[in-house]
Amino acid sequence: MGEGGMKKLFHAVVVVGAALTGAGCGDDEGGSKLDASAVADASVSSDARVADAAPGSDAQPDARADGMVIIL
Amino acid sequence: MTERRALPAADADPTIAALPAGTRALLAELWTERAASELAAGEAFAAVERDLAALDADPAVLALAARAVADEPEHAALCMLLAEAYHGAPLPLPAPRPFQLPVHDGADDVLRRHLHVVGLCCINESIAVAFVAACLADAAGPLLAGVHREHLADEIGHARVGWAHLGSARVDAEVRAALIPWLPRLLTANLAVWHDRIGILPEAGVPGHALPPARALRAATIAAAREIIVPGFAHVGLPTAAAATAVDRAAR
Repeated sequence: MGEGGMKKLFHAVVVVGAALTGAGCGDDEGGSKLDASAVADASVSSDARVADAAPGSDAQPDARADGMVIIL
Repeated sequence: MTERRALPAADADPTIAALPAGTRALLAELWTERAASELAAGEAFAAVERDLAALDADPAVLALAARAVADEPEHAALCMLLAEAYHGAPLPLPAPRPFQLPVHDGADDVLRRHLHVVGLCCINESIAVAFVAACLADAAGPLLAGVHREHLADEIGHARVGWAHLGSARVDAEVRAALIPWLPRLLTANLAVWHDRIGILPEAGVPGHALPPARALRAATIAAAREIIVPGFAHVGLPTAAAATAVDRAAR
C-alpha cells in the first residue's frame, strides 16, 4: 500500500469510526465522511504495493492467549 | 454490511480459466479454508457483540457490531464462490474453524470485554483492511476484484466497531488507563498470529490472483500496525510509545 493509500485507509477506519461516537470531527478530509465502498473502489486502482519488511515474526509466549483469528 | 453489487459470473473470469490445474486446486483449497475462517469470524463478532452489550456500549457501536455479525457468513459465501470458481464445480461449505476468544490472563471481566473489542476490531480488523487492500491490488480478474472490493468495504466497517467504541464516552478514563499496558501485548500477539497464517501461504504468491508474495502480505500487516493502529490509538487519546516499539519488534 502506498503512503497515500494507507492514509486514506486510516481516515476511513479510524477517523470516521471514532467520529461515529464523538471523537474528532470525522470529516476533516474533503468535507465529507468517507464511504467504505468508495474507499474500496478507490483501492482497485491505487498503488497498493507494500514496502518490503524484514521476514519473520516475533512471536511471544502470550500469542495464543491474546491473539485473535482472522480472515486467513 | 454495505449494499452488495452484482458480481461477474464465476465462469466468466478468463484469469481463472487460464491457470494450471494444480494452481487452481491450491486456490480452491485456500478459499475453502478462508470460508471456514470467515464463519469463525462471525462467531467471534457475535461474542464481541455480546461483550459490547454487556458494557452498555454506544448504540452506534452496537449497530455496527450487529452488521458485522451478519457480514461474516456472507463473506464465507463469497469465499466459496471463489473456491468453486477455481475448483470448477460446487463444493460443500466447510465447518467453522475452531475459535475461542482470548483469555487475557490478568484482566477482570469488564476489562476483558474491552480487550476483546480492541483486539478483534481495532487491531485484527484494521490489519485485515490493509491485507485485503493488498490482495485487491493484485486481483486481475473481474470476479476476484469484485469479491475483494466487497470484502474490503465490509472490513472497514468491522474495524470501525472498535474505533467507535474507543472514541465513545463508555470508555472512560479508568478503562483507558487499564487498557494502556495491554496495547503492545495485543499488537504483538495479533501480528504473530497473522504472520503464522501468512506463513502457510505460497511464498511467491499467485500473481494476478489476489495473492501477493508472502513478504508483501507481512509488510501489509506491519504497515497497518504502524500507519493505522498506532496512530489510531493516538487519535483516541491513548499513549503509543510502547505500542510502536512492539510493532518495530514484530517487523524485525
